[in-house]
Amino acid sequence: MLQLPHNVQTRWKILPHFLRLMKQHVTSFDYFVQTEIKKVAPNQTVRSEVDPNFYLSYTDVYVGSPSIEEDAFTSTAATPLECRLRDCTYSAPIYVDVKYRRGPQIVTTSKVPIGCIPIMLHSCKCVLYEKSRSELEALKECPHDPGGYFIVKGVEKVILMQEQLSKNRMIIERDAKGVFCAAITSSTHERKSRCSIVVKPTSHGYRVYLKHNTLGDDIPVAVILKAMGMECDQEIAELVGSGDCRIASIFVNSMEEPSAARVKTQKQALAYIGEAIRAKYKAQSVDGVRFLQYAPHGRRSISADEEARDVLAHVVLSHVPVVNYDFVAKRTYVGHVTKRVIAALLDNSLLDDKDYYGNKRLELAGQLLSLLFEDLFKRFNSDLKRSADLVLQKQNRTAVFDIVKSTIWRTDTLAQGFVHAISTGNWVLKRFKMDRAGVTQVLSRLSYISAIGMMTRVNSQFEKTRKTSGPRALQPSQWGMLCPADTPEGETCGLVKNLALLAHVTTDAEIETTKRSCYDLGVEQLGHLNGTALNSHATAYLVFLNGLVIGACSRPHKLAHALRRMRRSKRIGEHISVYTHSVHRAIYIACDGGRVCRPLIIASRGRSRLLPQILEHKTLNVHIFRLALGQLTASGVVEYVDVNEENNCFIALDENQLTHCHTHLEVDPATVLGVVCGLVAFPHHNQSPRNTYQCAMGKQSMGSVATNQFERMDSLLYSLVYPQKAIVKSRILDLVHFDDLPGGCNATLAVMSCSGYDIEDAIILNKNSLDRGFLRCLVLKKHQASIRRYANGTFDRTIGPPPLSSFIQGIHDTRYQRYSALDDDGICLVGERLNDQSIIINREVPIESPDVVYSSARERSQSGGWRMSTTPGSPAKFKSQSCSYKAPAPSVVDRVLLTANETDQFLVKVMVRQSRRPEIGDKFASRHGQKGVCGAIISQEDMPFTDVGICPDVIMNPHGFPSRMTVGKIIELVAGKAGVCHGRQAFGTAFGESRGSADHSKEASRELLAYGYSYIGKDLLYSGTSGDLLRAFVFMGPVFYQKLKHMVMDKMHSRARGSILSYILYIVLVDIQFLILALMFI
Amino acid sequence: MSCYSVAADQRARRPEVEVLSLEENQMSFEVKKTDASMANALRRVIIAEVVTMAIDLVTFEENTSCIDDEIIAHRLGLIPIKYAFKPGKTKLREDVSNDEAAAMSSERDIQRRFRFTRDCDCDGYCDWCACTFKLHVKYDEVIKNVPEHEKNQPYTVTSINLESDDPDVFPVHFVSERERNTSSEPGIAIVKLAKGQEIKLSCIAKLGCGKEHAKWTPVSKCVFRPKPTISWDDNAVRALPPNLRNIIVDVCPAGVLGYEDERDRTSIVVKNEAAILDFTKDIQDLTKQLSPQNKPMFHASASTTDFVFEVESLGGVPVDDCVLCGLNEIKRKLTNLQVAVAEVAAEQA
Repeated sequence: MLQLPHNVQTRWKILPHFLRLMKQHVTSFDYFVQTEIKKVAPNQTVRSEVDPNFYLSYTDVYVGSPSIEEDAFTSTAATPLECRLRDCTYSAPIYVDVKYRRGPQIVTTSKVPIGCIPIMLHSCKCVLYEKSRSELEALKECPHDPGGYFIVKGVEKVILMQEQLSKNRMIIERDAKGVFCAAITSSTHERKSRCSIVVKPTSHGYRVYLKHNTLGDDIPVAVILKAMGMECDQEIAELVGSGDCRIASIFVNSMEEPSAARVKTQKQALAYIGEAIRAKYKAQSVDGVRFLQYAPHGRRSISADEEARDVLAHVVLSHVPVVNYDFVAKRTYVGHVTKRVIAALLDNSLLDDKDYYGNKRLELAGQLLSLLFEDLFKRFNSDLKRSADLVLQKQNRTAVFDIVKSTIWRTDTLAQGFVHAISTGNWVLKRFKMDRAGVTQVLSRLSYISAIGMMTRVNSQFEKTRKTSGPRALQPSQWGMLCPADTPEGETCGLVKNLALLAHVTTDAEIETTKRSCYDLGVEQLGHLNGTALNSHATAYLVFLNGLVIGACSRPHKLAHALRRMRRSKRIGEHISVYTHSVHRAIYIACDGGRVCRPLIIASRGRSRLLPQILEHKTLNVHIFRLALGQLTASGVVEYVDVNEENNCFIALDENQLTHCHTHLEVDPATVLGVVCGLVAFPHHNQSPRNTYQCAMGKQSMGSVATNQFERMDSLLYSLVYPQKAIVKSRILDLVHFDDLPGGCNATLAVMSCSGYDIEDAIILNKNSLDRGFLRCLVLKKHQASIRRYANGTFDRTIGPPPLSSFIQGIHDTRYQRYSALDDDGICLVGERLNDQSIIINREVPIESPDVVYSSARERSQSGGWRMSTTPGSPAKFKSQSCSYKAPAPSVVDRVLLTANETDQFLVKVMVRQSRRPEIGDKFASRHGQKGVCGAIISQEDMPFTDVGICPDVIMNPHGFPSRMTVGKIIELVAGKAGVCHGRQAFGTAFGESRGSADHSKEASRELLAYGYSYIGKDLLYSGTSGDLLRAFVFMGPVFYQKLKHMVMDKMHSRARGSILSYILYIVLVDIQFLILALMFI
Repeated sequence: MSCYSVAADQRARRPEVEVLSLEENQMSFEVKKTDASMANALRRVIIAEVVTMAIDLVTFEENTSCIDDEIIAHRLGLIPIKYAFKPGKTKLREDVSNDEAAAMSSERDIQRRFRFTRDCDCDGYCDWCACTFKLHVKYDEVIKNVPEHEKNQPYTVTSINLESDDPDVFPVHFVSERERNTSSEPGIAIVKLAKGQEIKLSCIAKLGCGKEHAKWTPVSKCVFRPKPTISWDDNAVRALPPNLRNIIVDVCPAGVLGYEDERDRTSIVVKNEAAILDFTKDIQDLTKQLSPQNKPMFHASASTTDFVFEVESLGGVPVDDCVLCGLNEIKRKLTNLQVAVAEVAAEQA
């Protein structure tokens, strides 16, 4: 349990419970594995064209527990660490229950594996699910690890959250030509299509048209409405224009069009549309492109109007369901859209903002995997059908055809499909015309914070090269949902975002029950209402559910209120949002997945519903406490509010600001920031870009990666030898247990100018501090080689060093010295020192290429019977293909791992370690976006000192402050100094001074005075070189410093090899070029 | 604050030293009649050039602990090593004559027992330039001697486990008796061992000075400050009302200013001379405001000739020896300079 000081507000106590940090991925994956996967299977049936009696249907799909397939027959339970070490995939088999025909009888079989799916760590199928700290430690997992990623071929991969424009919603905007239009992207399980309703300026005034790919020309909306069965002009006029006469006066132009085209009845309208469709097909077939987006029966014998009716019902605005050609919902929808486009034409403020976050949806791992699974499963079934056809064609089979047990039941389609998609990040789904690259990324394990930061990252689908500012800008609606500080600089600035601390991403909720609740609460179905009833009635609102019109209601506020009450008592899903819009005169109810929402404390009559006594008497027992927290959403104390519903809320920042008008209370203002920004102490005192810079740098700082960092075999691991808890921490850091895995060191910083080696942000380090281990780090690198066995029976081998006698110069021979670290088995010894060119793994491979040997062996065996030419293990010759160490500075062998992976390769992994003390040119940064390289290292006797004997570790030039305006750093220093004197960690949570989660600078100053220091944190220093008193007070105290991964030792580059002559020639040539240039200028 | 320069008349100074306090590991003394450069030279020499012993080379035979070899070696290096001269028992270097040794028998002079390795003509290291230590701890063996309730705890290897080959050289476990009584460990922690772990190594301690590496620095603190010269306008202070006098006392942190007589409360004195220079300006500004003549009632300036030193030893070398060694070092340097100057003069003549 978190230790909380007594003065902390009740609101903070509930925060850890609502901190769903990184849990979005896990929730989404759980939803996929438990619910969504089962929805895919029942639709699938395999039938054969050869044998009409044959069929196979799936009754259930479920996921087993993670395992590694050792070979074709055995599989063992897998742990994540084992998969990381062995370069395996952490996956679990997918089982199906099937019902199929075997010969004459129908058989049901359960638990048939159809393939493997990678399992997300800490999800419900993972072995780490709900494990206690000690259990996690026993599995050699870090208890602070966030989970939410996959392990594919030993690599940790994250499926980033993808931000998209929401599907099935209209966006009123001006298109490229400046024409007002409503763009609607319909997406259903079968197809995805785009449709727009435009108001075109014509010679007859503004006219409204419907645009769709399948309909050749733009079709007048009035014709569409007629084709949807609204034959009477009055009905159409009422539907669109009866509310506002200005809208009616514009729409009246469009009403002329059907009669101009001689369309009066539904049949005529359909025929008109049908002609347009045919014309389009004709045009396309002339081009030679056979492109059928919609072919209802596979035959073209149906009449034009029937085809038009099918297109209207199932293709145009396909997300609006049409059953038995009952177009009521669709025409009301079209009418509503038309009305809104015309209204936007009259009043430009009614245009929708594309960047408004309520119009965005986040696609998470679960949704992406579900799309992939559906696609792979379909491919699996079609492969199965094709193979089954082949088998069934044969007339006389020896055994009864048992599809499940036969060899055509191939499980690798799914397994390979998942592994390939996740490991490359290419999501290619032909069915949805989806071809995305870079969906997954390797989990950055540079520091603990970088790993956590990666789990909250949101990737935008916009093109990175475009210079548009709109999607990059910070939107007011992102308040509390996305971190305003944490975004990269450069081309992806503002496109890659991070979730705020309490943001949660919803999963799909049950639509039918929600709809039923709406009808029960008095929503009237559309069939009973005409346009007048909808538009002219003052309080009649349309009710939308997930962008679909489901009806209308006359008392909208009562409906909204009732729905919210049901949500607060958990009678409908807790993430359902209800949003009344008085201008659109509509209620938008959303229960779809991918919306971002956040918890807010409900307030009523000027009082917060979160009373201290709710938590107080239960704090003794942790278990009961947790239970009480779980009840908060069900008992109407806290609720989740999404971006749209926030528009109906009036949210107070603090309890004392609450009035009767307020509906909600923020949990804490610090939660507008993300986790990574929580690293900054006093971020609210800094200039905003500085926090952004720190968010980028915190991810490069060294410290501890995870508690199991030395068990892991990462390709590169940076770790501080003596990481320290920050002397000024924040509540947010406590929530992620940063004190257990810190990323830096507390340095005594003196802000003064010293020696001139501190210009341009360079810092000066105390040599004696470095001697004592200040900011020392370990760098571990992995070297890996696989020992293969080839098809012809030959294999690689590792052998020890060659005998000394084979070297002329004996032990002084540099070629012999390369083998110094090797053991007799050809693999280096742990603890041995490796110099440049030292051999780590002395591998030899058979000299003949395996293919050649194989083919010659087969030839001979054909002529001479069974004898194979080469007996395994004794190939003619080997050649060396060793793995050697290449770096200017020596390293030490840290660990050696011998293992084998799924593909039966023998793996040798060697970790090589280097410990580095800071040197000139290494990069350091405080937590306020103030980075600098080390400019000089000065020994302690030359450093300035105070009369109590304090000597700075780091000296920074004061010029770093004025232009950067990092006041937070100044306060961190003062608060830290007071904390050191008092012997406690100070707090610097964002916006925390008045909320008991950050120290007042005033208090800190007072404390400093009590301990005999100057209240502004300045000290009197003596020069170390002359012994004189420095003629200014120097601002000095502890500041948390980070060592960044950029070290000069890694930046040493040189040309590998080549003749010296050509290099000199090159230099000469360059010189001549300069000479010519110089001459030209003269 | 004032900028001060060396006194114009170059009369030979006769610096005086007065020891203010001398405790187990810390001392405070006043150096009078000298200047800042001299005082600073002493400070610098004590930090950087006093010769001490520290572990410099570690050979690992077995290390199955959770900490890497380099880090353990680094930690071992930072353990202070003490050399204790035992008259009659300690064998001194052959090149040091017995008379000299008897005349200047002192345990501070480590150089009479050891040479710098770089000056030694041995191959690698020998008894005259290095001292070897051994460390061998096996968890499964040491845990037998531990009380039952601590059996599941990891075992902390400390400087206690370091065994010296030379009876006169040994690691320092605590700086002071007070630290010994308050510490939870029996010595300086090196590494923690868990079940089945073992550490076996030998290390070589060599002579060195703080200039090379901080581990050879004998002191944790060596600072000086000029002694402030303080003057109060007592009459003006006495003339002030009592509440204003309280304000003057409160302008500095607690304990810096105080009343001469707690009951009388008429004259203010400086209680903490060390800190007064930090607050001189504050007091001056305040008293200037309070004064009817707009004149500060307080003057304090740093002395240019008298300095107060505070030295705290790490335990390897006794604190007074640190200072004496420092003085010797300055003397040696000056002698060298004198000789060199004489040589140059002779050449030119």
